Amino acid sequence: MMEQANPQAARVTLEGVTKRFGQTMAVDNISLEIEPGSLVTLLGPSGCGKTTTLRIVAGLETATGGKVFIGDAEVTHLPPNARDVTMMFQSYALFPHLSVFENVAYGLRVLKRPEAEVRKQVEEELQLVGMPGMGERSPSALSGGQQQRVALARSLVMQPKVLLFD
Amino acid sequence: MLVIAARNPACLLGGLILLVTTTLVPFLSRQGQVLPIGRADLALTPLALAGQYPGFYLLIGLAVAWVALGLLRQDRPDRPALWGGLLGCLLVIWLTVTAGVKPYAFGLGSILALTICLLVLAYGLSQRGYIRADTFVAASILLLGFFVLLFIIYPILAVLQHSVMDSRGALQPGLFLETLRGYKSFWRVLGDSLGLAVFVGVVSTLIGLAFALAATRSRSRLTVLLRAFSLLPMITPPFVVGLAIILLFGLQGLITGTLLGLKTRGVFGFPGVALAQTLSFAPVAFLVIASVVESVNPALEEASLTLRAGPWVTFWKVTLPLLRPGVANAFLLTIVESLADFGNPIILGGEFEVLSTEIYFAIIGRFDKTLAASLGIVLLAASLATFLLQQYWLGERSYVTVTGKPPSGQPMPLPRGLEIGLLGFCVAWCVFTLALYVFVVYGGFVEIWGINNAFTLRHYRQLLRDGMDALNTTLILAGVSAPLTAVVGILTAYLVVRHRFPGRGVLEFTSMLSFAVPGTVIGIGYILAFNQPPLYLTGGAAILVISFVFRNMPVGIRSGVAALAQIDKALEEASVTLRASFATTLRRIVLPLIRPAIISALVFSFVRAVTAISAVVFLVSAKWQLSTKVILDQAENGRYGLATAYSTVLIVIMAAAVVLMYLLVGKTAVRGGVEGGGLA
Repeated sequence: MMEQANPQAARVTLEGVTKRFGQTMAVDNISLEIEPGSLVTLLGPSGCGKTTTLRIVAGLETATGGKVFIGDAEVTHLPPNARDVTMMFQSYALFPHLSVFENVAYGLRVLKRPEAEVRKQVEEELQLVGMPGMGERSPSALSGGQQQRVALARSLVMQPKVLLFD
Repeated sequence: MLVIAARNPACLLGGLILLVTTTLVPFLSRQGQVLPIGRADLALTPLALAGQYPGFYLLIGLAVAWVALGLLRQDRPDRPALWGGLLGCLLVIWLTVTAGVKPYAFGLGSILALTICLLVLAYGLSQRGYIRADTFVAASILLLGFFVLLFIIYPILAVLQHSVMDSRGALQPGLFLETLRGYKSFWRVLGDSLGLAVFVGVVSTLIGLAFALAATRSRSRLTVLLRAFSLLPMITPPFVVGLAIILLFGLQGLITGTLLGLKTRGVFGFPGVALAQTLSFAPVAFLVIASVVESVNPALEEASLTLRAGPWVTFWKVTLPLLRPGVANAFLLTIVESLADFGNPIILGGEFEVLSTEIYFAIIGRFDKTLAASLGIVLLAASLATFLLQQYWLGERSYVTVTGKPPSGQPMPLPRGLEIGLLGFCVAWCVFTLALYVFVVYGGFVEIWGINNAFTLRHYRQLLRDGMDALNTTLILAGVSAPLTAVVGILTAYLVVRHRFPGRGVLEFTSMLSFAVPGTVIGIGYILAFNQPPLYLTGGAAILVISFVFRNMPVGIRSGVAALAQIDKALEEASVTLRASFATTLRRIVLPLIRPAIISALVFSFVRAVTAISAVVFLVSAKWQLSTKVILDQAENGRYGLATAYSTVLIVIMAAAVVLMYLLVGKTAVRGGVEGGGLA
């Protein structure tokens, strides 16, 4: 997990977070505090709860117990779209029916940003990940590495408080 | 603006709308006239009714309290929404039940008030974290749950209730058994229904198995013909097969009467019904088994071949045993279909009586609600038992390996002799089926079948004169219900597959349940439940649309579930972490990706609405008459010319709809829809 050095970056705090799926204990009473703008990696054998912890921070799972804070605000029960957190998925999860440009622009369009600003920011982000001028392609026409970079651009363009890499 | 400045916008907005509703909108209506029509209706607003029913003051009080709380600062804004919403829902239901007495029934106001309270409750639930998502998802769950309770569970409970309630409304637990004991032919009818169902189940499954093997494992080009055959029951109005059998084997039948010179009514009864049901349900068995044959991993057969087993031994020892769950599945499904079938026994049964037709005659002929309800319970128990067996016993026993990895290798061709035998049988069966359709079309152009075979357009002229009203009604109501069915079905599929919430299993189970409840049972359930205030719906168009929507809901659910299973959940998760709400995600990510499933759900719910008979036969009225009921009336009076002409028109419309869909989305969607549909 990492937090991008950007002015928006916020502290992430987990307090005694627990997650149970039925009988299985996925995350058992984890507490940690991550400084704004720092880059932190969770290491461990498969099945130890890394992904679940990330998903709890993103809001894709709700903790069975404990509290989650982003900055000073408690977000334990907030839905994912009300947190300022983006996540890069193992499978990249590019929208297959949208072009590369529209994939990156998706979040900005949801926030109803003006068209000119959307264009400018998306172009900048594509430039940053080394894929200028490839906006009109379909995600299926890209190599695995290119797909990964598009997914990164799609997360970065939102300037999130926290950026998660699964 | 005021709303934006509010501390608790959901409560403020809900409170304001509720305040307007309670002062201006009539809460009740004159039996069934839901839309207010005149000044007199203003006497039915909650404010006006409060003098007589003080409970309405509570509702108005709730509206005022929400407005006030909406403007105040609160630590926990979810509380007034949650508890107020819950209280409001219960209040509206209670007030509708107490104040909705003859001649008044529920009205626009009660619908609006309930919707507002449900929405505010949904907001409270989602803010509190009880439903893991936003207000849109919570509201959809509450609304769907409410509809399922009202239009699937409640009518079934009404049937149960009437089987143990005497004419004065007193509860008599022994009445059910007493009614059945007093009904002399009960054991014969029950035995005949079950015997017919098992017979049709065995024969249809064998034919379906033959078709499935021939269509998926033969290298012949004829397989295209066999595949097309699978579509026939979808575009077939309920009486077509029955009418064709009468035209061929009836008193004036082409084969029995004209060719063999027999004057026999022998086809009416078990032989006719069994033949008609086998013709109708074998294609369903075919589809179920074919999907299993296609998913058998070729590596298993290849392994057998490399272990020195020949094609015949491999077929007997490996292929067939692997198909066992699919075959059992098809067998149980055709039993459920046969039990539920109404169209074939009603026109071919003669003296041969089954439960579904006896229920109809108990209501239509004897006006005996208790008998109809009691027989309904028996029929329901038989179908449900079979359905549950299929869901739970077989649901676990699939040998199909679902890995998402495309299977490697070619499926083994059938042994040569078997392939020729199966193909020969299937082609003969197809030719026979097609001949039936040809004779139905032909029958519409003949003066009086078997007596005066002169060509005529008389029936079509009569159709244009007398039948257009019912045809228009049918197409309009089916057209209105199709998008509603697709929305309800696909939304249910989305919620059940993608969200975790309390009661999810119950919602999934009950919505699929309506698939297994025989149409006649739902039909009497609707009559019994919606024939008096506060829920007065019979005699109108709304009850027909509602019955279409909730009978056909599983069609939408099945196409939706199948389509959603193909979509990586991470796409939606990516969308919500990019700040999109669940509603936006549904609209911009999910719906575009499952477009074929939506179109197939639309078309098949339209087709099923047009061909529905078993439930709607109880619900049609002089003003809202449906085509299938007209065909039934004509056929019962022996006017086969008009009945076949009418059926032909319906077949053409259905075929056009399916072809249109095929052009729009391709064949995968067509097959998914057929598997989701088909029940009478």
